[in-house]
Amino acid sequence: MAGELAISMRGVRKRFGSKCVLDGIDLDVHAGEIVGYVGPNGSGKSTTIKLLLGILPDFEGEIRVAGFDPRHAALEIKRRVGYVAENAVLYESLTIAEFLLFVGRVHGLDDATIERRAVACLESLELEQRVSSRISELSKGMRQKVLLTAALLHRPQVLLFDEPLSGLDVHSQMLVKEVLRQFAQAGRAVLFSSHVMDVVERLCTRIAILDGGQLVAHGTFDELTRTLRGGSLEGIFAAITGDGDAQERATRIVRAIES
Amino acid sequence: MSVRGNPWSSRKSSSFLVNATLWAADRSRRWIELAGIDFAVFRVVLEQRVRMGTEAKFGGQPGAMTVGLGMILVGFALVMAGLGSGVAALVTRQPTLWMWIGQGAWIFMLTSLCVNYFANVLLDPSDIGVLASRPVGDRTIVGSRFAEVLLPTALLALCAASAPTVFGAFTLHPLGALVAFPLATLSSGLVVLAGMTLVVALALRVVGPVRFQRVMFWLQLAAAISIGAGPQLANRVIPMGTLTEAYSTHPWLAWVNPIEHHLALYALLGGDFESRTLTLAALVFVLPVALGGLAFALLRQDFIAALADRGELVRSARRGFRPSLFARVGSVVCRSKAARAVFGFTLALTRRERPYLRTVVPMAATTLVMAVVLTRPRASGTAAPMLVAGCLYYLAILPTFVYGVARVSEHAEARWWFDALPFSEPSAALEGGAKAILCGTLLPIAAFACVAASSCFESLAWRDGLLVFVALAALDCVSARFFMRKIPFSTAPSLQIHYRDLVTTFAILAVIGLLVFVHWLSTLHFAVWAAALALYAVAFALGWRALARLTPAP
Repeated sequence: MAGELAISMRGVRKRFGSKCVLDGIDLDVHAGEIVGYVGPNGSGKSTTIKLLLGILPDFEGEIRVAGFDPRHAALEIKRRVGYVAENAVLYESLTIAEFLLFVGRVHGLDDATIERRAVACLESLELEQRVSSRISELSKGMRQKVLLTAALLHRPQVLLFDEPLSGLDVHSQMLVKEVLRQFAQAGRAVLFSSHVMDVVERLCTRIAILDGGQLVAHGTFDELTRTLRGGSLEGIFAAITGDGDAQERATRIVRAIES
Repeated sequence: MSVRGNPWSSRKSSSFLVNATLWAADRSRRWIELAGIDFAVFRVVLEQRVRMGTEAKFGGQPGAMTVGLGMILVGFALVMAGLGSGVAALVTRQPTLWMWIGQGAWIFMLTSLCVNYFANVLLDPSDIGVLASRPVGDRTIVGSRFAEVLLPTALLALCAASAPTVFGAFTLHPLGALVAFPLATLSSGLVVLAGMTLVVALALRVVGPVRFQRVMFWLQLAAAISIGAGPQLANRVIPMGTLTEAYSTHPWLAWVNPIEHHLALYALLGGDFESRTLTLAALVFVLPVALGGLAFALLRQDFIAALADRGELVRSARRGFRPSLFARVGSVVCRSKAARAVFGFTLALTRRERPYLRTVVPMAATTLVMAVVLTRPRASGTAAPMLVAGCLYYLAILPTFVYGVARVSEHAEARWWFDALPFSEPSAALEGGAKAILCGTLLPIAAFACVAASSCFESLAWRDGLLVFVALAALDCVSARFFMRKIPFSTAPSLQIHYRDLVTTFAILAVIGLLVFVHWLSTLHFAVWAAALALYAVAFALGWRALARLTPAP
């Protein structure tokens, strides 16, 4: 049974100059759901997330996140959303603790709450020993763990995760997937954008496939395999997005380089 | 490197600027909230920005100047500039001249500082990636940046006001001088800052977030050129009497001129209670509040969206793999493939990197325009040929900051490419970079200035123009040896200035003096001119050859 509507997009169009990057997106995400949002590079996934957050205010159509319109109430949305960006920027000269204190304070949390929640997250992510290290010294995976912690600190209603498992080791990936499952079970909505198809296939309750700015397929994994007659999400994805024969294209690359 | 102590306790900053800024913010809470700013978030963001500016970028860097030292130097320059006003008070005992000179110098210097530095603080996109997805409003971000530059402005205002106030107190009405000048200086400082914020707000409203950065870049460029060259150009194009006449025939100009408001405040404190004086004096307090209020009222939305847009400042040519004319020069002037590669890379980034464009283009354009404008005869007279040549030789100052800014990239994390690529000779990277900056920035500017001075204004003979160009080219080449120590566009942005760079800058200033002297000698006889030209050509050739042997900093 679907929960309360957390994200709603109706006829969303976004242009950058003459280029249309999103063309008539209709998508709902309910509380308790993890919706996989997949598509080839440049298909408009990150742009969608930026629209949902109100970072890009200029678009056509209707969007509601946690009941708010990002064009008029971006701040209210940001208070309720936990966001992990694909290419996130961090304050390099801050320590992990200083960065998390900064983010928590911006969300209006008191220092004791920030510390309690952050320490619990960092311990589970095996980063508690590095809490005094500057962010500039961290590896990509460690930065990702800091970002995940920062995104969860304020107990968001909606999670917008753009490649959240990027750079994480296997243990941390398993942990984050389990965290997302439990968050969804607790009634939170998750929009999960990733290129790792088997993770999306196993983790997400519904999957939306984006190609060229349009939503080309949408449903549960079982529905997609039934209607599109594929055995795996990777196969379905390749068939829908028209990637064609990978072997033939690889041969073309190798020939060009070898010549 | 780890930070000691309890990582979760709020680290007390030792920086005077951080503590004073937060102290002032706490005491202005009501005003800040009145501007539609979320104070709690504002305070957190402000503390972060001031800390990053004062501690992270400068702290513990050997040989680097601190923010405090930079402030002291600017403050000292303002105290010196204020002496002119003080001396005017001593000599003439005229409050009008005292106020005009003192406030004029302060407003001019602060506006210049605003365009070249404070505007970059206001438009800094570096932390937008962190803040864009957090619940921080547009006004809160603008407010924190405004507050970040407010305390330095107040401190500089104190420096600017010190000499005129002290001298004025002894020679003019004591109460008027002691109260009016400091208040007027603070007021005009606020007017300049609020005016700059208003321009940003209006630009955002008019052009929208997508084109905002590009428009602001061109506005900043136009403003920098106007400030640098405007007074010189006006001095040469508009006869002085015209302005004085216009001012006396249109008394309403006093209402839009802040210095007239300051004079009215002085007159009021001296006992003049006429209604016109009262109204003008009230504007000292009303104008900054009105301008600031209007700016914040306009800045309701889209500021974050405008800075989050990573669009280019200038349109890039869609050439694909076809090299531009300048890029083709690389294959001629660089011997090794590695040097050619870095030449192309550096040349492309001198047209794209925002820190480079935002710093070098306004300063180069200002220096260029000033050098060319100063060669033009005044409205009432002719230009002295030696002054013309001296102005052009001043272009030799450009390398002092161009090479420095060319080290910096906002994408410095891409530096690993240089570590991963098989550079057989580390100096090849420096050679390609230095030649790209020379051929793409410094030499075209020198050539343009010499041709403009020789052809347009006819104030310089062609042979003198040639001598100046070859001298500048030689000096630009030789100075690369001292400034070009790191691979271009591979270092994270920081405002640090090395003492070594300062020493080299002073050395270049001394060499400019020498070049002017040699130029004077060259006007005495053709043989001296020919000898000087040959000497510079040899220096250029040697300097150019030495570019292949540049040694990177350890």
